[in-house]
Amino acid sequence: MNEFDPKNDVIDRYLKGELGEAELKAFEDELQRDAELKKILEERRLVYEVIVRYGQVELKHFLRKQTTQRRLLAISKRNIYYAAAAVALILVTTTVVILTLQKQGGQKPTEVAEKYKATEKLKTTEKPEDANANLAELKDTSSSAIAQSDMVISDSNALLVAANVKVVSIDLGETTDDDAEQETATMSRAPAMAQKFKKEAYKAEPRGDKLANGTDSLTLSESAVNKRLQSSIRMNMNFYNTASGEKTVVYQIGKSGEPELDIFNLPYDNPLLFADGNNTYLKAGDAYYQIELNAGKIQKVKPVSERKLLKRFNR
Amino acid sequence: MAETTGEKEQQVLLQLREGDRNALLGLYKANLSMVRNYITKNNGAAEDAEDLLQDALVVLWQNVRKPDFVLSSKISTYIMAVVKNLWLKQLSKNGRMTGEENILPQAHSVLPDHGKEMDMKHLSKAMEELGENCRQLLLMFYFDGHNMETIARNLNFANADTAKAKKYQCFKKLEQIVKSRFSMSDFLK
Repeated sequence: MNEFDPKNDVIDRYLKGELGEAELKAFEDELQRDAELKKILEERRLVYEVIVRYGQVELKHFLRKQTTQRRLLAISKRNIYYAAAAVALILVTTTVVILTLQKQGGQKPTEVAEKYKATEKLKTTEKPEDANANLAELKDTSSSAIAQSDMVISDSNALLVAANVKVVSIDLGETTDDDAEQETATMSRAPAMAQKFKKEAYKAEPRGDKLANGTDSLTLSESAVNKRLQSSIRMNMNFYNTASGEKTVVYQIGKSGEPELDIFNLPYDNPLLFADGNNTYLKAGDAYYQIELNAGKIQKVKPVSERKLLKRFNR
Repeated sequence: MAETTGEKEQQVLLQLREGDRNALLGLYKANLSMVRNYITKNNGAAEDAEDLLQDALVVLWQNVRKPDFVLSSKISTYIMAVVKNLWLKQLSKNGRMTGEENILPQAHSVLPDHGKEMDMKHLSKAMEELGENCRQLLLMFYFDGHNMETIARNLNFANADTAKAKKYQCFKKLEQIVKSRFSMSDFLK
């Protein structure tokens, strides 16, 4: 069969499954009758399958690489940012840190949230000095709570402290296009971006009083979540020095498959949070913990061995 | 102006047809939790879910350019159907049934089905020996399923006919490589 034989096209289309019913029948009949044609077909079929199989494996490899890369980065020891610095990421409009220890009273989370929102509002109107005063007061409130937890930490009862942390979620409102741009920051640029976003963090205005579900817990809109998903970062994190009362924001997809945004304060400096879709892990200093983020409830924390985790993530 | 869901879906399909891998990546992310939920509730682990979703997306990629490909549901629905199909096949191979076997629509089967796996090592060697230009051309035509006009445009051929001639040459070349360097059993495990 030479190059210009029209059968070449038929064979191609047969291999690709593109022959119509009638054509297919005709071709198969011909194969029965023509042994030479059949031989040619079988030879070409093998080559075709080599091409297709190669394509499939290569495409799958591409997908796998693109979707696991950042998880591996999170724990790869070769990445010095992870050895040294916190991962900071994209941010959203308004964030507040509320922390209460079970034992002590202090302001209720929702009260703090309201106050913070009022503060933000003040900032953008005519009374920035009032805003700053409020903010300072807020920081004092939360920082005393944090200070307490830090003390407990130094007892090396890190687990106990985390167990006493109450998580409250606050609505962050809609994301803007700026957020989308921020979201493309990669982890390797994290420290620089962290600085940038730290400044931006207080800029945007809160969106009224959106407290969804009538509870303390709020959810992002689906489109906001999808936007984040597209950045392929599983966790959006913004860590500050907790001792000074600043905030930590974590966002994740909740167990129900619904998006949940939880804000909480971790009594560790520069902790690193990462997730593998099933579990959330925390690296504080040299130690690793597996944590469960439960909105409005007590957190569960348990230590995991570094070796086990590395094995898991580097598979 | 806000896009409707239908328009967004058409957009994604168009991107896929044009060969945009990022669109595929987007579908991965958008559908991962759905697939994970299903798999973990059906005797599977999260890793299975990721694997299956990747396989399903490869199926979608290959089918989307076929002339008879018509999507009458949301892309997610299609992906889920393919995933379920693949998962059930896997479960029945491993002897773990869930009782759902006969209810689901058949996905287009695009995986060559010898009943055996092809040996990737030999595949890669053969395809790499082919050289990048031929490899790309053959993949675009036989795997991606692009038409000759598109291929000619993307690979800078003068026109569809020259591309087609080159495709024939490349195919013959690969055929030579496969025949002379490897035997059938090298490929099939």
